[in-house]
Amino acid sequence: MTPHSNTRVDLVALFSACALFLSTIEYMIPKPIPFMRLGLANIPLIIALGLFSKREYFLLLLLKVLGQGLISGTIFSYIILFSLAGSISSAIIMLLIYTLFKDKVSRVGISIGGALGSTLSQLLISRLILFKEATYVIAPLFLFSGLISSIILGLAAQRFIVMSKWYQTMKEISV
Amino acid sequence: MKQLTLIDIIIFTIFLTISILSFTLYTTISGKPEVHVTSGGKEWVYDLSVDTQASFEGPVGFTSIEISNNRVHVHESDCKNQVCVLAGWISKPGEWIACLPNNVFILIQGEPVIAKEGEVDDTSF
Amino acid sequence: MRYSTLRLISGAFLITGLIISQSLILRVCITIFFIILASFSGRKFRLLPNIILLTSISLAHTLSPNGLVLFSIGSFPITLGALSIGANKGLLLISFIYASHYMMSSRPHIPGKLGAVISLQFYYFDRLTTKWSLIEKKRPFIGAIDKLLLEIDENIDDKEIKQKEMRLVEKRDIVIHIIHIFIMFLLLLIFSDMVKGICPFMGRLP
Repeated sequence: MTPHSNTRVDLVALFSACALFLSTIEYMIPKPIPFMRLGLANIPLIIALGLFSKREYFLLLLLKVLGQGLISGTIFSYIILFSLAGSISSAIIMLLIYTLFKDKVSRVGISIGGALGSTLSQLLISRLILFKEATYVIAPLFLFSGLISSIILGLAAQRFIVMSKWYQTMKEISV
Repeated sequence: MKQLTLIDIIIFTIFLTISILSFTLYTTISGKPEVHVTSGGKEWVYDLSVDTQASFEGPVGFTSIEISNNRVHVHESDCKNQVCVLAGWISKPGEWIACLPNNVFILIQGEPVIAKEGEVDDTSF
Repeated sequence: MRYSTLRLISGAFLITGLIISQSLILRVCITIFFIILASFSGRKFRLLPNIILLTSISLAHTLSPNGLVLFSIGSFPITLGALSIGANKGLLLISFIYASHYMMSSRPHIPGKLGAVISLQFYYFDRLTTKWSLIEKKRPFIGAIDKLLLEIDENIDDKEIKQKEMRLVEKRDIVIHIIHIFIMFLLLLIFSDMVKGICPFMGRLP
């Protein structure tokens, strides 16, 4: 497949490349606690809502998860479960929120909702597999940091949608 | 920001509430019954709810304990009188088993589980 | 067969060895082995993040006390057994991570339409990483991003879309990978119960 041979798939590939790129940036940022994810790679997903069809959205999700697994090197470990659970639940919730509320919710709300789903499912898996009892101690920390980071990401995504000319052009092509 | 909507604020509040409530989880950790074993000046601690086996060396040999189904007992011991083995299973905080010849002392510590109504306690007599 | 497929097969064997391993010292050896393998495959090893990972998992496990009490924080006992279990888990995880790097170092080829999209994803990713310096820290930040996204689409050279990693397997490659698997087998053997019976020193290790 060559670029532009199929514009829609092309666009999904571009978005997923951005997700990969953001994953790399996130991987390089030193984290005081290893399992706290900033969720930078979610930004393409948040922006894709309203632009992509459901199938395209889920294709992007698949590519994003695969890419993240490759970059962080966790693709064959049980850590991929965390990433999968977090990404899938977050993506589904975000899609739900957007489909239910369309224009009545901004990217900020979508982002926060997604982060809630992601953090809760990751805490659940942590309780079962990795940290067990310790999860109860980490939980408040995870939840609060997830809340704050998702707000910032949501604001950034919202800003992008409003101000980017590239995005406007893509939107016109998509309608 | 002009573009923030009501729904945004609702979702934010939901998340915030859950975060604050998560602080109450701290209480589920403390108070779990533990098996404390002292022998030869050293101390070992085990979670009563986790099945495990352990062996302790003393003057006359080894004394082994087994934790299973939230109970603990002395599985086998090298002492002559075998009192510790015959003591059977213990499970409540405050109960203990001792192997005096081998210098091993086993005690269950923790918060007592709330007794169900009508249940008779050892200490009532 | 493709080189990347050989890597995957070899990795599968190695990971099986990892999963079978139980004792702490064996896991330490296996982890070091995987780190070396990954380093030769190009992945850099940074000590600090791994230390942080290992310590945090070990410490988290001390919340379920198990074994010899080392010291107490207030009334809370920190036990050796719990740390040991935690370290075991942590090493398992780190081994998995480097094993993944080893297996993925030669980009595996996924057939079909999905494979094609993934190739396209990586193609755009490569362009993104080469041209990202266009995002200068200017005030119209969004404008800079726009510019970058447009630039990526321009000047597409069909020749650039080479088939990466189409490298085919030579006899030499097979030998190397058999050596990898053999080393894992040796490690398992050295620390196995059979040898512990024969050699008392090995029996005393955790």
